[in-house]
Amino acid sequence: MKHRVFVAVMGVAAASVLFATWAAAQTYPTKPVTLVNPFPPGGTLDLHARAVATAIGPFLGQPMVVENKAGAAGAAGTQSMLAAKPDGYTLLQGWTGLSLIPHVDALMGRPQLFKREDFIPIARLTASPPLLAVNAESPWKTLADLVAEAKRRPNELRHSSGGLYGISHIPLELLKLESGFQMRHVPFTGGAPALTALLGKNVDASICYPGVCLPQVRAGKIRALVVFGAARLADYPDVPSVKELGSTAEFYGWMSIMAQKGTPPEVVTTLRGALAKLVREPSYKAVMMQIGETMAYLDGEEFARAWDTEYRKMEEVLKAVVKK
Amino acid sequence: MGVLDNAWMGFAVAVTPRNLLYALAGCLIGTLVGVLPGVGPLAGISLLLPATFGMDPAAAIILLAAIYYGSQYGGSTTSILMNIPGESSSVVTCLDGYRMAQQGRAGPALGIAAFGSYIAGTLSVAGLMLFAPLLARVAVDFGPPEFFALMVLGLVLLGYMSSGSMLKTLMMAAVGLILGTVGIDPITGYLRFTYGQTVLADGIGFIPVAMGLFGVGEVLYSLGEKVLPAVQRPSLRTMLPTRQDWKDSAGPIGRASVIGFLIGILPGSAHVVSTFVSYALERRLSKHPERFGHGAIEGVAGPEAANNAATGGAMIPLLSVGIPSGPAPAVMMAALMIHGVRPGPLLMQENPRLFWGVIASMYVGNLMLLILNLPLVGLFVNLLRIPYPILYPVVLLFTVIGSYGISGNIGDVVIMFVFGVIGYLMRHLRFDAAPVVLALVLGPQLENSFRQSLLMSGGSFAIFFARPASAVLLAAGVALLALACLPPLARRIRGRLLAGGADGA
Repeated sequence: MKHRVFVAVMGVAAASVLFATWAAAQTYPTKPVTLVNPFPPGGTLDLHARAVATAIGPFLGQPMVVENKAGAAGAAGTQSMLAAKPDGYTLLQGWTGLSLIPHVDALMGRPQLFKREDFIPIARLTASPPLLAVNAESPWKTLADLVAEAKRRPNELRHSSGGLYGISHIPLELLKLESGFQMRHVPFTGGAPALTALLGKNVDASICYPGVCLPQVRAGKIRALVVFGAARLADYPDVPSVKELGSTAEFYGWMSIMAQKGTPPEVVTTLRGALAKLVREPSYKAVMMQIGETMAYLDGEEFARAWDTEYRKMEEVLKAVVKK
Repeated sequence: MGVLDNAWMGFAVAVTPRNLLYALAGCLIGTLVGVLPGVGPLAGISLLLPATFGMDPAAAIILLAAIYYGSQYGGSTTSILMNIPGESSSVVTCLDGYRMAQQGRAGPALGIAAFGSYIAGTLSVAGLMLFAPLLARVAVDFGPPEFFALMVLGLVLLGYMSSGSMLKTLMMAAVGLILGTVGIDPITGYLRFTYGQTVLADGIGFIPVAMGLFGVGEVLYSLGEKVLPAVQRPSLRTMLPTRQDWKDSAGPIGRASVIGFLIGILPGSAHVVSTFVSYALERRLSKHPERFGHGAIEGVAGPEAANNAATGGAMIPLLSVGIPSGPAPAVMMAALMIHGVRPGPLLMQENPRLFWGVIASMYVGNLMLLILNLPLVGLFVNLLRIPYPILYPVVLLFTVIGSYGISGNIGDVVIMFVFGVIGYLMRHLRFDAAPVVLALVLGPQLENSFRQSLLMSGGSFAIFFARPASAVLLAAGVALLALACLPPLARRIRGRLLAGGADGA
């Protein structure tokens, strides 16, 4: 008798737990969702995060709130997001640095703060190829000119970046590895000082992203030599792509939404659906145009595959670049 | 289009009822975030960024810029009343400002700070209007070697700020430099002294250290005193600056406006350097330099004017070049981009109404802030009447909010309390806290600029002397250092000569 009661009670308990999980997942989200932006306010990632959060409300059924958690070039905020419960209520504004930081940590002999496996990519939203820029007063009109000069005077030309092993450093390293020239790297802390250094002729070249350099190019202060994408950008019709020039040094600064490993599949599906609708939303597309970002939507599965490929490629590149 | 025509157009934009209202709102919010220790203009501007999305771009920038320069008015309040700097540019104000408050002269200190800020702010906007395109060029040409030279000058000037033992000041500056090495080295990527804590990866922040040493340390120290200073009862008469105060402050304010403006132009610069260039300059020029550190009004007027002029100067890289000179202007730039306005060298031509409208609104805003802050002086001075058992917990609350609010990391609050204990010990041992935090700000910039310069030159030190601006600044630093060492050296030599003469006679 007691045994049967016990089994019955256990059965009811199990059923209610299952029901509760099912119910919670069915009605996700039931409260506002936080999107962690691991960078300080005001940057391109921040503007993108806010644009997503503003426009996604109707598609999710709950408001999305951006939380800035800056530090360690994006690592601090990423770590804190991964430490949160994988229930779909704390997401990450992902960026290309996620493909770089883990390898840099490993190559420098310190514990990896996070890895590819810690994330479930929900969708990639944008992918903007950067540009290689030189000061308008410099003599190099094409990439070939610059590379020739660099080969003639190895390690005398200098290039600036917004951060060591970051998204404005690696594209030029790709070119170096491919063409075999050497240039001194002068790291700065942030895109603005790196661009200032180029404008002031304190360095010879720099990588910058389309939204940021457009005003300088239009004002005739800097000249873009090549764009690291497969096709020319609409804002820069005269700048050839790496593909046109026969180079394989493609690089994209992408922005995506990530969830933690272990997030329930139903939650992931809901998010994917909401983002699929978001990318067709005119107000969101308008903001992307304002900030100069290229829309490049890839849904979860496809993005996961593309990211895997990039992640492995970056591991090889960084092995050649990182000095211990 | 002449400058006057542009100014006229600008005022037409700035003086519309809606834009006036936004300017006022920005001034109010700016003053508030400035007064709250640890909460800076960046917090205020970022919070309001989404609210500006639906606004006209000129109105959005008017609002955000008002918060930015408004916060410099409020920053002096906590420095003077409670010896807690709100921003790095308010640290120097603590030195003489707090002393004045303890002497019952908080009112004049706050009043002169407000007026000095107004005059400097207005002069810097005038400078912005007249010289923006010219100075934009200067801003961009200032590279790592010049930065390094400026930081060296700044460090030398730190020595001029000691009112007590020079040796102790230099020791504290050295401590600050050492603390500044913690974190990721931007040039090689190595982690230094982080012990695996991600919160330390960006270094020990200025806010937790300043809040700890000045705020928490002050509270702990006062609690340890057997007899607390009597709660003040300021009268109306004592709240106004005296005629002598005005006379003494006129020169410092004028000089500081120029210094602050020029240093503020530099993108990514330490505005804090302008405050101690001003302080050191006033001390050297003063007929009674021994008054500094003990409540000299020039020590408040100069630095406060300098930091306000610096925010005016900081708008130049943003509006004329399209490069933000710090985190707060970066958010303003984002606000412009969101509205489809691309900040860059062509902004003045493509969007003259916005460009001149914002500048004109800065004049108006400075005036509003003066009118706002003067009556507030009376209110703030009365804060000193609050009994300590209530005041101190509130101060601690704000310091905790300020530290946590940086990036929502409790580690920053822990750092603050650690430095609170250190600050308490330092007070007991009569060590000044100001050099520590100032060197903490200067150190990383000094090191980075140095190494970036050498990377630029391929290892040659000649770069610092081949470039005129850098050479001049370095020469100035060396000269000032020599000047500081000269009197004690001369005394020594004279002493030896006299002793030798006595023996020989």
